[in-house]
Amino acid sequence: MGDSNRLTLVASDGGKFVVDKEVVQMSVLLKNMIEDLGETDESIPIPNVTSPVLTKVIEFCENHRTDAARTDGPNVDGDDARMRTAVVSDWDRQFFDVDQDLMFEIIVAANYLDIKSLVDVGCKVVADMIKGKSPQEIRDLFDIVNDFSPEEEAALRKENEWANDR
Amino acid sequence: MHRLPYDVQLSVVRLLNTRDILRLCATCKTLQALLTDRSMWHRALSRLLLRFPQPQLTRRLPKLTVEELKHEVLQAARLDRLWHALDYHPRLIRSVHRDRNVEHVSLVAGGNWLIVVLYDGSLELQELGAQTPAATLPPSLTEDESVIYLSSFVSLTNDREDILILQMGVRYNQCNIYVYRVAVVDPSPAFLLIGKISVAGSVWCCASGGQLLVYGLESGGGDMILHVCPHDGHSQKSDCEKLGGNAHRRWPAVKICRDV
Repeated sequence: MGDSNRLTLVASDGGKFVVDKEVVQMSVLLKNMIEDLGETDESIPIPNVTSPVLTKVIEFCENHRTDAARTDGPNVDGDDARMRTAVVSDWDRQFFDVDQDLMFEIIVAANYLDIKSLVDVGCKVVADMIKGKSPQEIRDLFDIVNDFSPEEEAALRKENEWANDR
Repeated sequence: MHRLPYDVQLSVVRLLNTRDILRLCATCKTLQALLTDRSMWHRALSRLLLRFPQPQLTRRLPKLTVEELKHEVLQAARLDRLWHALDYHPRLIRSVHRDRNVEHVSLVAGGNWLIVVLYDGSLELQELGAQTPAATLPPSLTEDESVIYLSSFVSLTNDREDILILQMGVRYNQCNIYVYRVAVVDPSPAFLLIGKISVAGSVWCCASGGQLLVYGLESGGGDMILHVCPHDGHSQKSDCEKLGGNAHRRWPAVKICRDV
């Protein structure tokens, strides 16, 4: 008999992680899966997430496990207002101080695993990176290829003229 | 950004202000597609309306198209930008000359048309870019009246824009209020006199709303009595009702009357 309070998660590359059930349940996807499975010793495969990403996701959940009352039901407008005003904590900012590939992979994994608090923080970090930048600065930041023709771009610039000055 | 699922991209965009949204979506075609998302603009406009209530717009909100929503949000952002620009100064865009003395001017129809009242009480309606008035009206005032007041009102009824102007001519202890409906384009620029109300006494102010006219008349005791009547106010017999509660304003009391 294994410890009923702990579960084993298996990343896409085979990496095994033993985690407290309470921490795992921050993922709505895994929470539902555990409820469906009932008491089991079997490990849970996470086919879409690699070990380095899963390490980070678990680190976040371990750190935030004590956060007060996580809301389950979506309260769209209230969340929106809270999201816009809340400041990213120092710990969260440090947490996302990683290379950009990993940052995006963490957000994608959080979205897949349905960990709302991690998606929210990730979106805020990305939004903060965008704020106040020109289109070209944003392209440079995220390696975005400009696929507009020169004419299309000129038209866009004209349309957004008021938004482009500083 | 491209690696994020569409829903997550939208969540990021929702955290940005309008200018940042436009800049982000001007980087490439994939992100530009976010601009066609109705929920994003709907949310942005709803948020604006919480801060700056516009009941008419709120009522229309569910029916607005993406383009209309976007237009309202961008308009608000542009105005906000102008409002906060430190180096913004009024700029002369047009000057209009008249040979005769101008008593009042009033901008109507979104600021694109100008109503000019000349000293003798004649009225002119001119498009801002035009050289000459599109419509003129000879003095409606009698010889010994002088214009002391002009106001214009835009009242929205059945989605039709109605411009009303009120002209007040005063002679001794007698006041005439002229009510004109102003057509700017439909069917052609014109002034249409729809009512003339003669009042004995000193009228201090007048205003209009819907089909009614209201004017404030000084009463013997130094009170101001507000009279409400239809634009074509035929009868001048007042049925007054004194309202309490306004005792310590500039006027000791305000009475509301309905002319029947």
